[in-house]
Amino acid sequence: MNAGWPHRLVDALLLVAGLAAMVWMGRHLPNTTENQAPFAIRGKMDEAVRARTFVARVERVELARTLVVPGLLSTQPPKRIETGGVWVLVHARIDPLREAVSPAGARLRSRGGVSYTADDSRVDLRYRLNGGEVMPGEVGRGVLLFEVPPRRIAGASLLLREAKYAGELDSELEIDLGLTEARVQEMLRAMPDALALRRTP
Amino acid sequence: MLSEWISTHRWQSWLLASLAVIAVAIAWRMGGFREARPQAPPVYGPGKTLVTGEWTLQVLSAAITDAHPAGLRAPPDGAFLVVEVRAENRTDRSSNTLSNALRWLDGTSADKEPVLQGETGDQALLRAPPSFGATVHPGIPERVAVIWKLTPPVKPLTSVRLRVIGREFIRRDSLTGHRGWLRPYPVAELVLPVQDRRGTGVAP
Repeated sequence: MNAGWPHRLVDALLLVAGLAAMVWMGRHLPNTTENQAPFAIRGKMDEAVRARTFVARVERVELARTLVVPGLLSTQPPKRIETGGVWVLVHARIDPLREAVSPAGARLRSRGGVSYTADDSRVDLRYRLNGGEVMPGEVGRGVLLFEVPPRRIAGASLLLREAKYAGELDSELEIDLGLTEARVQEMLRAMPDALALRRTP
Repeated sequence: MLSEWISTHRWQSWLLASLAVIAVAIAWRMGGFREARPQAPPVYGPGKTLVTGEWTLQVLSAAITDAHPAGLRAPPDGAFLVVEVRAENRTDRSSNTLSNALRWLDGTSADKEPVLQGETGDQALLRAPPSFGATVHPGIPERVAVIWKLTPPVKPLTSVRLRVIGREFIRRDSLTGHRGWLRPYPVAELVLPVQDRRGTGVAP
């Protein structure tokens, strides 16, 4: 070997270290979805939690096995809507601050990170909060409906954001629903077999 | 000229040769020398449970009807092909992309991509009660109707051939950097007998 071999060894080690760093960065640096994820603002039930464009308050949570929704016409019989899981009804209030707000991106996230979008196809728009727009000066009060397996209800939190921008680089409320294991068991025991949905006043 | 360079740069030559051997070994390990031609997917009948990346699917039956499951009326002399599927969402979030997982290979329009040819359903909806859109939630299996509109004249059909399409979860897409279910691939093909229920007024 010639006299420069220690330098060459250092160069080779640096090259290997550089390649290893590239592989590590490729695997561990956040992807675009994570980089543009909304900013979480945490809150609790019965608290007014402020996002960039609205203030939300979760008033109560109910569970039901079946929902009963009145027919579209008064002559039509009520419709029973079953689920393979449990209906989680989150009663919430939304006050827009500056612009119309649509809470269409509402989700319920389990303790393990599995997320359930608010129902948008089984129940008529008149009986749910997500779907329409709430104008500034109006109070959007209504229910967000989720279908969730019973084992994923405890520890779940409500994620609420303005739908217009899909939450990217915007604020997203993460509201703890206070669903401890004991409370969920109690709610499941007391859960009505069928719950009649009423139109939001 | 090359032999002269090799004789004067002995250790660099060894290094380059070693790197080349390592590169070939890595390419071989990653399947770079495997046969490139995609193998034909297996063919099954109704009721076979298939696991794709996103879904566990059991395609149950197929029928032609003029009574849409959600109550829509077929155009004069038109009909609907309704495929009943039991679907379970295997991902960590609710999904409404089930109709992308099934392609009807005998459909009138075909995709250009050869491995993904076929026509996706015009609509998917949940049964019990029927409703537009089919959002399937993790951990809650659903019966879903995937529906294709058949424009008149409707040819007689005794069987349909469907291709089940899976997608891979990519943590960082090389084009946009977003994560998602991408890179579709054929999982299997299904040949289903078709019941003709036109004129009965009963949705399948």
